[in-house]
Amino acid sequence: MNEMELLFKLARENIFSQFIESEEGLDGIEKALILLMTIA
Amino acid sequence: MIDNTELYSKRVKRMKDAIELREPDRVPIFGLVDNWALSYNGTTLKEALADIEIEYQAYSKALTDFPFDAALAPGVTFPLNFVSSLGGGIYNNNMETVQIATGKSEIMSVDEYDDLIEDPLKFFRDVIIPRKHSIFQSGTTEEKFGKFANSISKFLEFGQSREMLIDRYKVEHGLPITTGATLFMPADIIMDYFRDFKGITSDIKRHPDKLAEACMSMLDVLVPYTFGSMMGKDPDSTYIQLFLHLPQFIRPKEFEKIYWPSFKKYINIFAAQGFKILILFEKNWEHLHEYLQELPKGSVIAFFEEDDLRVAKKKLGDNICIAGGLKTNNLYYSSKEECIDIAKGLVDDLAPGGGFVFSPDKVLVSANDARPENLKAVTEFITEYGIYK
Repeated sequence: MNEMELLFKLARENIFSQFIESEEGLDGIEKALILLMTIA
Repeated sequence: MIDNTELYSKRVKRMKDAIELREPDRVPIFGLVDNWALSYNGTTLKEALADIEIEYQAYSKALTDFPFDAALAPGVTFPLNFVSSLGGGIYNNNMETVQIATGKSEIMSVDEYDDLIEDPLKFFRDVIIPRKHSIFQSGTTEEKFGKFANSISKFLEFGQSREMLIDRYKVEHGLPITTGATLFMPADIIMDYFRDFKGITSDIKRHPDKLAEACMSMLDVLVPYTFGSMMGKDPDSTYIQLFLHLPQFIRPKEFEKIYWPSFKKYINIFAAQGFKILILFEKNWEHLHEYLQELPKGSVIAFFEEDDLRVAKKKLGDNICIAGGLKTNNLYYSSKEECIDIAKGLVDDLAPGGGFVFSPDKVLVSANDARPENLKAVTEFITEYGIYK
């Protein structure tokens, strides 16, 4: 696992999972974050 | 007196009728307003970014002093506090409007197209993001995560604040804010954020197949993102909003090969699901009208900046709703009477049969995009003259 993958995994497990339960929801917010950071 | 719930429903229906190519009760007026709201209220971008209540005061004044039936955004359109926490991105935060700083967007080389095509999301995450954002460029993994967590809090704050603001416009003013998913098409992302204008111009000539393939592959990210953003939102009042840049610079044959296939596929996917798609066609698209005639019927509201709207209505009006009309030059430099004359001509020629929404020809960004008294005069004129009999 590379560092960026690890950072997003940590975000998923430590931040997003506090208010999103489903894997689908977690995938969705992670993709939205990646896309927004790409076009920032 | 009409209450805000009823006013909101009436406005949503007015817009819906126009987009679905029926005659509404009157020509809808769209608030194509961004940072102009700040100068109109005497607020700086810095003040608005620091306090959401100040941001709301400024934008709500601009969006409710004029009789708009719907508006593009509830406040500052880009999450600048989030971008700033990442290290600044490609935006210049020292301006009074949101501006891209020049010379910062060529961060992908031509030989990386295969990696982008193979897995766009992975390419964004592992290649583009660490190249672009300084918080990932130094320190231990633990330190990087600390900064990243701070950025994520800004990202979540922005999303929540937009939803809260949209709800306030509905409840306090009966005004629909149409922003659902706001997005760029693949070739525009490649131009604006990966390859810059110089890079993509070269790619169009020398690597058109790779560029077209990358555009199609990026739909694997953009389509799920859009579905996620629109989830749970009312498709009659909330639209997918697209801002298109590249086609103004390219020839029809290049458009057909590079831009059109992924763009058309994207539009067709969401139109088939009943979503409305608001598109800002930047600059002039008259050389591409032949393609736009294939857009699905009754799903698209098309804001044209420089196209002759009478030509657009004639060529495209059977399929898509035409929006725009009053040039920002006129809104700023002409008299009230001249602006009203122009607006009258637009209603006379474009309103019959429906499928027309009145607005400025460009998003109002800076103070000199419109004089308030002119905007007031034309919008109030439309509320009377634009009634369908």
